[in-house]
Amino acid sequence: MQNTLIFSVLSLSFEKSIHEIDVDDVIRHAQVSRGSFYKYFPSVQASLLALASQLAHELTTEIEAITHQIPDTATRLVVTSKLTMRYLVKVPLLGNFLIQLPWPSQNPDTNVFKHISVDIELGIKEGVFTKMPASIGCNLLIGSLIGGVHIMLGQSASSKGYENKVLAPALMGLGLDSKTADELLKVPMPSLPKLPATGLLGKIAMMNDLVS
Amino acid sequence: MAKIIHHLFGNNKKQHSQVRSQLVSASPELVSIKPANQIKVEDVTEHAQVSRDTFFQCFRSVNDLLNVSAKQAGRELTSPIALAGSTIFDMPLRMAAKTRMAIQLLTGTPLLGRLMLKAEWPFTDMQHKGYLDIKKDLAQGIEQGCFTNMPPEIAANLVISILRGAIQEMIDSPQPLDYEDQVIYHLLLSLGVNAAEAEKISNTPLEQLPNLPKKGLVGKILKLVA
Repeated sequence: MQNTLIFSVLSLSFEKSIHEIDVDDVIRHAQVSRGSFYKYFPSVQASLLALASQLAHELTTEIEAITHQIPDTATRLVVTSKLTMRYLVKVPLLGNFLIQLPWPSQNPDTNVFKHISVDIELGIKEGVFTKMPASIGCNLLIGSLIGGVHIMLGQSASSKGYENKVLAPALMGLGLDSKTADELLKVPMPSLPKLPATGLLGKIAMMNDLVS
Repeated sequence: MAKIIHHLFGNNKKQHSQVRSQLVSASPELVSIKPANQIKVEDVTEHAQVSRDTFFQCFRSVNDLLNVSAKQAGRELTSPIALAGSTIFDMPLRMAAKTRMAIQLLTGTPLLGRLMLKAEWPFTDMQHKGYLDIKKDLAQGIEQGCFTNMPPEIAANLVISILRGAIQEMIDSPQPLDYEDQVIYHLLLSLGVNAAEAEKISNTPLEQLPNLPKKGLVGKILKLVA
């Protein structure tokens, strides 16, 4: 039941802004009573957060499966950031939902960018990045990333190479010199994984095929 | 239950925009009563004494209302900050000073900061006065070669991201004393200012904060916290 409700919220998020979804929409879509909805979630906001946290978990698992074997922190950070951006742009249904979530958010469960934050913290400890409160580096990079994905989703033309333009200044903000940043951004990229057939991402893959 | 004073019938445009601005001017009280993400439509309708139906004729959701209010407060803050910055001709210095002003004004009155954080992100209102002001400074700095040559919207996103993040962090929990200086330092690095100059500028404290407007939403918030 809880999953049915989450699926409904997800489907509704393709039709309208996540801030406009109300309980009536969800119960109509899921064909359940108002009482059943409130048995599982205290509010639409809570169901959105449950959805976000499930998606964040599935997406970060997919990306980490590729990036975990990269030994160098800065390289891993760059590849993770680029893969995340490409993933969100290639699957607009997913991208449009995730960039609408409140940011900065204090809720670590719904953080799609958790691995990025972890690597920024690690990079600071290792001395790869300037010594600073990690929140500054995370806000700089993650905020730019969200803003960049938003611009890329809005462009009709191919946005190839735009990720590098977004990430280069953010990397310099972490304290890397421009040459190092450029070299990192030239590291060959692994190909984007196919969306899995299961879970919420599987559902999104199905719907993405329908619209594209 | 509060008495409903306003209920919109038909589409009288003048009446519609009156109720809309009435709801916007109620948002300072709303965010002072409870955390912004816990405000419900009922809270707004009860406080402003409008019917639920009327609310939805004016706004799509509470977040929509707060976004509109935050953007209005942002416009009110733009003029004093822009004016104070206009006397600084070195672009990295001006960028640093204006960013400091925004951080200090918004964290000095956390209620104002909390409302401003309800402005949408990613920002889509490319004609917003504050957004245009940030972009203009950045474009000028890029043209003069003080900042790396990059699409101005990317540079604007850097500034807004680091600003939003800093305000949230500083309002939510105590930060090291030099947090603001470090924010400025890393912002300047990201814009392409060299480390020595960024260091020098980030160690230069702000001389004076501009006065906040006494009217409008900002004025209302200041009265609420006074």
